[in-house]
Amino acid sequence: MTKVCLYFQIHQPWRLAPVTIFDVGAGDGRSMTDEMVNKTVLQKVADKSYVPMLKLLNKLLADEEQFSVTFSITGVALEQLQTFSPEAIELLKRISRTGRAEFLSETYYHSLASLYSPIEFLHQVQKHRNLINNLFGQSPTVFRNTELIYSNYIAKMVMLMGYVGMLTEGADKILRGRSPSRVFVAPCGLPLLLKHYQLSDDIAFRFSASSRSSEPLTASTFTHWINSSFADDEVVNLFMDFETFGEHQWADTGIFDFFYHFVREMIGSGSKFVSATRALSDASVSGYFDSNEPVSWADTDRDITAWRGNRQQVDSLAKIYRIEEAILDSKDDKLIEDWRRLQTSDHYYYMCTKWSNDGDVHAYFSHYSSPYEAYVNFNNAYTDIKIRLNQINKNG
Amino acid sequence: MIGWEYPPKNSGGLGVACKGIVEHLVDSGFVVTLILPKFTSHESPESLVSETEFFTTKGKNYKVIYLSSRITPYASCDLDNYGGNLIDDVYDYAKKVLDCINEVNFDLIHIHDWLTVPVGILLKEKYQKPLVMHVHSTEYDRTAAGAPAADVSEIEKRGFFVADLLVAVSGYTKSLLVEHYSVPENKIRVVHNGIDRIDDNSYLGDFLGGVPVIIFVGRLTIQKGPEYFLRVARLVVDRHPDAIFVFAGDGDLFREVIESSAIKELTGNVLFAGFLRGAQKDNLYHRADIFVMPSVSEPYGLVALEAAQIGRPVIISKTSGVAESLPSAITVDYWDTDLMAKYVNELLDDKERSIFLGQNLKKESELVTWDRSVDQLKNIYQEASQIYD
Repeated sequence: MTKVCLYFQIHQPWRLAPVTIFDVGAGDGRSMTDEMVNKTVLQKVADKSYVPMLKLLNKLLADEEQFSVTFSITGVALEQLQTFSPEAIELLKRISRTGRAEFLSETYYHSLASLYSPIEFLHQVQKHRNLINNLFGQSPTVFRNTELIYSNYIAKMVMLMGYVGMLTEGADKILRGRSPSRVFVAPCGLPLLLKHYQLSDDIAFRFSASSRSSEPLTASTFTHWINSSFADDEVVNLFMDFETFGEHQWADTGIFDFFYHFVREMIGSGSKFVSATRALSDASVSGYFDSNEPVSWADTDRDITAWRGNRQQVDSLAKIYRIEEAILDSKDDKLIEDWRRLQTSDHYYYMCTKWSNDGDVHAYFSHYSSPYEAYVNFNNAYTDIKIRLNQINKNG
Repeated sequence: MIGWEYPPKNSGGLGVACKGIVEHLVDSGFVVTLILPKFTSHESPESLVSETEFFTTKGKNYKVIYLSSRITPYASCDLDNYGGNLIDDVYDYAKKVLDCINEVNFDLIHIHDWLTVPVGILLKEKYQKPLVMHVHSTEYDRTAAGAPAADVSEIEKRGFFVADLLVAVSGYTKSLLVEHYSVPENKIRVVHNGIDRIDDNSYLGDFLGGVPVIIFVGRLTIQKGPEYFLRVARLVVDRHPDAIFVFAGDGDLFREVIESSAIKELTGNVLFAGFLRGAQKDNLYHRADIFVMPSVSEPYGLVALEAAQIGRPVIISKTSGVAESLPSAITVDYWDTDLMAKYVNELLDDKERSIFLGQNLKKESELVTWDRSVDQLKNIYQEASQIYD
């Protein structure tokens, strides 16, 4: 009997409004984010992806007892869903009430705090826990870091926070031929679930015919691949962005039908779906997953160069965390909130100048005309925060 | 009058200067027909051939003829990305001007810089009228004494040779023409650009509140020395961590300058405003504490005059013509960023001196007017015409 752990990521950043030089330090209290742009993007994605897919999941949960699903939803995405798509929130609550949907912990702001500041990291994880608890009545026990970023050091922090396990990428360079479908442990002892990236990406990136050499992937083919390749003490971890369904792969590719039949056929063949917590106990322990260098699920590099690959990104991140103490000391709630929103990893991702296939992916997700424009705008927004901080310190 | 870029579609100082010359000539009674290229990309079919408009200045009209062209004003700065054959396009444009000029009566041809040289030469040959070439910048300036584009230099030199008289925008440019292009000194007249008064009430509002602001206004291109501005920024920020350095301008070095700024860890201290014009540009001058122009080679440098007009302290490179109009301006070798940073730090620390310097510069800038420039041009026109009498 094959077991599959399905985990879906939902994240939407608060995209910055265009900040001109004349807005920097203008002291007019205007919002750093562009409500209209964020609303438009979120509602489009909700209509095309979140709402239809959540309805489908609700139906599958009602019809199939052996079906379960795991979500991780960032705080900034939940804020936007609450404001712009209450329907999606209601559907998520219904899913949670089935008792077969697990919600993971992560940073509220989808930030890279784990790489820069343990205190800020802890704060954002706690803030996210509170929100998940309030909305869905769950206290997460498993952790997923922004973009599945993992290092031995991060694993240690996660363990100290009391989590029973963590998700990350089944990166070849760390696995060296070992199966990603068993449980691994970090050197500190924290159990890990690893993304099976080939099978996950078969759905997330290679589903539609346009990017495949042959016909679109069929549910029976995919079910057959999984059922014929794994032992009983393995769990296949299919991790992907929730927007895969209906947004990255449009409805007309047949992605919703595919998913529905895939679940039905898997269960029909005696396989089952397990949550992340369950997967950690179902799969046998295989060995260490040991990496001092951060790995992630992004790009073909599976490292953090999508956010720290050039000097603009490196300097911007260093600057944001450099002012942490002063920002927190200001006790100015709006300033602190704006500073935290600027930590969202997407702002740095937009600045990425790696070209190749990955560059296309970066451009797809960016609302800027170039990575340099993204830097210029971030730079303005950051400088505005710095000047506001100055003024608070002068007046206080 | 054969121009190339013209406000509001200008990217540099040439457009501003050309407009100043044309409108003040019209104002003082000259009949000016201005011929300008209208950019059409290499991909688009050539639909437009010519288009005539009338512009108005102080109640008087002047005629502007637009001819479709594939030339962009600063194409030679970015030859690698220029889609077509620049030189072919320049000559192609010249022929069009020749075709349309049949309908225009004129006594003298006034051209501006290398792009208009082929037009000038063809017109002079055909009509046997005096040709005056205005030299706003040379390829030597634009490539910052590096490797000039050979084709462009060739055209430029032809212009210097064929024109009856050359108008250099500064003594600096005159000496450059003599030294680097072997132009006979007696063929060159110096006419500084003028400047339109900036409205003192143009200040729109507060921004960059409470921090020292140092500005760079110009294209991000090797000629303007943006890298030196960054080096100064790095040195000054070490002493004044709140200082903000602003680049107002676009250009072929946009990406390199951003990368260099990040390497110097200047995120949050160096900002990129993009190309500003009109009230926005004035607004930035008003907000600035110091104006710095580290140009490697600057024939004139109108922007320094604009900053002086608003009473801002001005630090400029020794290799800029505008220093001749602003004796109080602080001049430094463009490469001496230590000294430039020292001056910036001193001015930031000594408000009184900064204000005093700004006031002196403001007074000096008031002597620089287009009326004066146009009076000088009149004499040059007369002189050129006498050659044909």
